[in-house]
Amino acid sequence: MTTEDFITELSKQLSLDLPKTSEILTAAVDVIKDKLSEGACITVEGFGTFDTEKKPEYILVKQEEQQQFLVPPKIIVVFKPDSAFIEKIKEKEV
Amino acid sequence: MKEEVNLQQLTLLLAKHADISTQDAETFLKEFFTTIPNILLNEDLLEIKDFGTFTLTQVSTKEAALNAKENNTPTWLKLRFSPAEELKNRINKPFSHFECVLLNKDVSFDNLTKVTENEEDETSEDILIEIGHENTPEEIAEAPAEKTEKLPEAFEEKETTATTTYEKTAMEKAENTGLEKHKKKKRKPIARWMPILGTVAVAAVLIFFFVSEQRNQQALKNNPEKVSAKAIETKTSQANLTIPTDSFQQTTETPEENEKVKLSAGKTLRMIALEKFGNREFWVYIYYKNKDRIKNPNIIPEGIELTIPNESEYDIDASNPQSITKAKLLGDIELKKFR
Repeated sequence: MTTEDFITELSKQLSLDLPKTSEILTAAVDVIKDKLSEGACITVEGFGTFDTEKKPEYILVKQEEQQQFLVPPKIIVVFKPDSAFIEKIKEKEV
Repeated sequence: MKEEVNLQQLTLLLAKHADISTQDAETFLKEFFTTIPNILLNEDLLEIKDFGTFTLTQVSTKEAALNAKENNTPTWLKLRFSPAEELKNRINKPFSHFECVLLNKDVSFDNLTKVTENEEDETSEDILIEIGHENTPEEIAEAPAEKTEKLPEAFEEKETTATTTYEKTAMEKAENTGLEKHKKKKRKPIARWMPILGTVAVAAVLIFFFVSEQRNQQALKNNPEKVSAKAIETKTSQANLTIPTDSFQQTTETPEENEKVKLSAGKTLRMIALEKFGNREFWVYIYYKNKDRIKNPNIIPEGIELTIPNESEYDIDASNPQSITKAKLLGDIELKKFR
């Protein structure tokens, strides 16, 4: 599902017009991004946790070229769904 | 201490940011977080622009697919959140100026994990969810070892033996989630080569800071930074060696937590470093901390307010000769740029 369809779905559920829904969605995403970039951990009960983790440096070996590279550490965003989210997904029909 | 943000706090922030009432913000966020899993029930992918993409894919080998049909054995779904490029770059800003560095052949570092090109993958954060059983395990993490035969690629997470305080915290936190991750830890004993490795590791910082620095040099007014002749003359012959064991530091503290010092007339970064950290060579970390305000460490305007880094932010330990050597080498690199 694309972002536009997601906005349509949200606007239907909230009985809001599309531009307003899009505006609030953008604001919500900005707020979450701001907090994550500050290093905060965002926990929403019934959904999960957005957190940041530091991946340590490591050596990347390219065997064909016989080269080794030092790959620097990086900070990544990690999403961990909680049990309610997982239980919901378990209902999925495959 | 990491800040914990819950839905209520998010609601208040959203209300302020979007200029809507708290009630509207709360309704929106509740709907937002409820809709996402609902959509994933019917869709395999949900993209939220500038934020990320939730994907839900069935993990199957031919054998698993057959089993699922014939024997009513469970199916596994792989849930992944892939952050958007913009979010990734923003989060990784502290390390954004670091680049991959080619190592010389005679360089080896036992305390870092080696990964071959084809092993490098981004799937370590996938969450596996078992469906199709009435009595499914409560927690996915219960028996990862039993499942690895069929689903090895989803569990692997590569880690190094680097033991910075920050990494330990991240590792402990990841272990306590209760979700399924298979961790490989390669621990190799740090032997009596520590002093030699330490010196070599110190030199490793050179490449990262040397390659990543591309700031414009502008002459600034007022009092120049007095640099000792000894520091300028020191050679940095280890330029080809790399790998810091603990040289990558992230500044996690807010500006409010760092001491501020106003640079008075005649005072230099070295003097401040001596005062605050017990050794002049740590001036380079004061420079790093204030890089946005100091274009040239040789020329620092009088009266500028300097943020003093905490010792834990960088490897600042006046009682540790390796720490001092490392700082000296870093300082030499920085000064070379301004000759």
